[in-house]
Amino acid sequence: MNDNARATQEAVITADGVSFSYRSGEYVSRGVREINLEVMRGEFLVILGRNGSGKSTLAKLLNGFLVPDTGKVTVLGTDTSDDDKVYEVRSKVGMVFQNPDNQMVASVIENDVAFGPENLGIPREEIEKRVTAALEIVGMSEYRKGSPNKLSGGQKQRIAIAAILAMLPEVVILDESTAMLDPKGRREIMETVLKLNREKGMTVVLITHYMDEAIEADRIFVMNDGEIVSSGAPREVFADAESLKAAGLELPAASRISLKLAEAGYDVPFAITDEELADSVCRLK
Amino acid sequence: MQIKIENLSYVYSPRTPFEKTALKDISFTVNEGDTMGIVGATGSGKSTLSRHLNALIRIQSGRIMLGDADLSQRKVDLKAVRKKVGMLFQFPEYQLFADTVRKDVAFGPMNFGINDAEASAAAAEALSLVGLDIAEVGDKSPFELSGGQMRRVAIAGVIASKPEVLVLDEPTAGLDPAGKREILELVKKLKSSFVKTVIIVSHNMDEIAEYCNRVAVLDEGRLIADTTPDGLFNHSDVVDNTELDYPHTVKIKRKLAKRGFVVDSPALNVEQLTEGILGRLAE
Amino acid sequence: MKDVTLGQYYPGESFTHKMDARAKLVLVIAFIVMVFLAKNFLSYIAVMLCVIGAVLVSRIPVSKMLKSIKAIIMILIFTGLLNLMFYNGETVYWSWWRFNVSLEGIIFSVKMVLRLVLLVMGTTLLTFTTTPTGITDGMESLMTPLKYIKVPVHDIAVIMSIALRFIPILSEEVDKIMMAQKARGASFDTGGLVSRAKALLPILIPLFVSAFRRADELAMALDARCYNATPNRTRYQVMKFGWRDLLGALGTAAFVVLVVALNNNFWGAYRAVESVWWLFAV
Repeated sequence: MNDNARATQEAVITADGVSFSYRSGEYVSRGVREINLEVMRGEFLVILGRNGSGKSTLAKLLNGFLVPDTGKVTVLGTDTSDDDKVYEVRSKVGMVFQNPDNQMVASVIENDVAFGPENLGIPREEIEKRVTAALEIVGMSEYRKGSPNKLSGGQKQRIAIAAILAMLPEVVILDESTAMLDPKGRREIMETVLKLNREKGMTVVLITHYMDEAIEADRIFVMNDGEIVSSGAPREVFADAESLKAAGLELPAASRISLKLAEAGYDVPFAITDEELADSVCRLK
Repeated sequence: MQIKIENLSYVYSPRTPFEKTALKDISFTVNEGDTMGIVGATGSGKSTLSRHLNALIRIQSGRIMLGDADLSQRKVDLKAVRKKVGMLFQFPEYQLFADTVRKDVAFGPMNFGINDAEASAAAAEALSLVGLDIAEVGDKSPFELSGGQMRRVAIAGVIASKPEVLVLDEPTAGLDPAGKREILELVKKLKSSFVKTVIIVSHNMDEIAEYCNRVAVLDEGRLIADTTPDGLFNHSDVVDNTELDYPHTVKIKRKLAKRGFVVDSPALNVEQLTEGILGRLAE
Repeated sequence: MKDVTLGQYYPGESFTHKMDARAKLVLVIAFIVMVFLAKNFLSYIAVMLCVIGAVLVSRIPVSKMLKSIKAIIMILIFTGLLNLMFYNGETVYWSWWRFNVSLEGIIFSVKMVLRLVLLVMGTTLLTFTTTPTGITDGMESLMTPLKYIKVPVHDIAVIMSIALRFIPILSEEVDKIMMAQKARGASFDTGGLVSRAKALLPILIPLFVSAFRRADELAMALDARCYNATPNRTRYQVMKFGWRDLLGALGTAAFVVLVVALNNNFWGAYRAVESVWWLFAV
């Protein structure tokens, strides 16, 4: 699983003792508390958590949308609370959101992809190249001149990814970008994300509540109630079934079956993928 | 109450250049007590079909019998039909509107013509069925609640009129795994109340496999299968010939079979597949 | 609701599609002036020819164009009837209470309906052949002089573009909310004015809540795309006047001249056509 040689020891984003809570008048709701994490260049990092666990708040802290109450977030050495560097941070840490319809500004796909680079003042010829390359990566080149209205959810979300890629970010954060999609759409996004990370070396942070999307991650952070409750490689994190259950998450089917078989007295190691499970079951026969 | 659909066809904008066929000659019967899944790719006609069931779309050709009521008749009593067939749309929390949860849930019953006191009682009952306490949330604004709670309120709003049939369009879309399970368990529980028949429109084959006893497959407006989940996923090639997917556990079963480990179980959920594997290992 | 075609782009590679958005905007204005200039049937025929020509050049399917007329069919019928009934003509064919149907009334109402049809076709042709981004970019460019009196021209353009993008999304949403409330027994077409207005609340409130939620997310998405990062924003879509625009302008000018001439007499029109012909020949 952790065959990604691209993950380096260079931190692109660092969160150091970060706490944040939402305030509106008297009302204070808990966001996140005492978060420490580093996003390494080239890695595929997954932040797992149920709805309301604080994972989206964390995502918005990582690209400077929110500024910590205490602690510090730095992106490539820049403190996100530095008002003069807001756009620098945002262009380095691209973010894709949940609802594909609510992040498109233009009615023609290529214009939507071009919107970010235009805002950054990139010369026209360069934008042209970037649009072509970005649509190519997400496999949507043939829709370039089309309208987003007729696309499926998965396709729209791929356009949203392309629109971020066209700004040439160092990190792409997907903030629950698969939550509203059907299984096919989810698959499309996961394939795109893996391609980005494995083939293009892009640093990817995926925020999700689906554990099966975390299987291919280099590292996982599990959030519950505003705190990081466990972290590590998928196998280590998945093996701690109790704390996952407490965090309201559900193990992939293969893991659950391997646990049940082990419980029944068979020598089946903990599996996280279907292949592993199939291999170990076939060995028994 | 039985729902009998006979030769139902539907065309959008008929006799114009923009004509689009949504349903072609569909016939099947949903029996009282069924939990029926309706599956198919986007644009296969699932929504058009489900919207026919409580007369949100007028029948163009064919017939739907709702018990004794013939929906294709001009003079059919729309309110009576809609009271009998509750319909939960996708992301139902986006249709909440009233200033209190109590009023929102009572909206349906009031429309169906019962008095305030009765509607309020119906709202309390519906809220308790979905696991919410009217004393606690009744006077709150629905927009103050968490996402999961809002969805429950929306479901309460539909079941408050005590429908015999409940049609659910992607009831778990956008929820986290725990939320999904809660909603599906809730639907299961509802079946031991006044709700006798459930129809679930879904893309999620895991849910269909686990919760439905029957499943209908639509493809480009045609009914191409009317069977059980076992029949669809284990004994037909319908899935391979459409854009549909196998349930995760059936995928594992097929992987095992490819490696020569044949499991004799429908494998429609983790328990069934585990039992199947254990049975095979014990041989 | 799904039949809303006004403001929908129809992708294509035709002559008209390739014209500069600014040119098309100006020409549509010229066209509107032309429609209002037309007085007699001959000049109306000229305007119709202009529209037919423009449709042919744009390669928009005639069915698509008709759909845009279908969208305003009620307005057309209403306008037609109203003018027919209330026009005070001399040659009265039929009369009852305050209603008079006269020859002049018939002619007038046909003209009015024709005028509306032509206006809708002309403007729809613009929105069919020009991407909403093109239209907003074009408007922005035409409004550039306003920048000097501190009008936030670019922000206006982005707002228009977003509005255009969300019209189909929100209209679909209204459809869905209406269905959902109908399923809960709501009815929108019974009762008096007050109860009907009240019945709209279950649609309006969810719609506004949704619009605000979308706006919130959209604002974040704009931030994520570094909106307003630099005053030196660049443009992906370059606008250049070309031979097509020149040709379009000349064609439209010719029709304007033709309409004016036909308003006076046929021979004047002949001479006008002849002179335009010469212009092209030269």
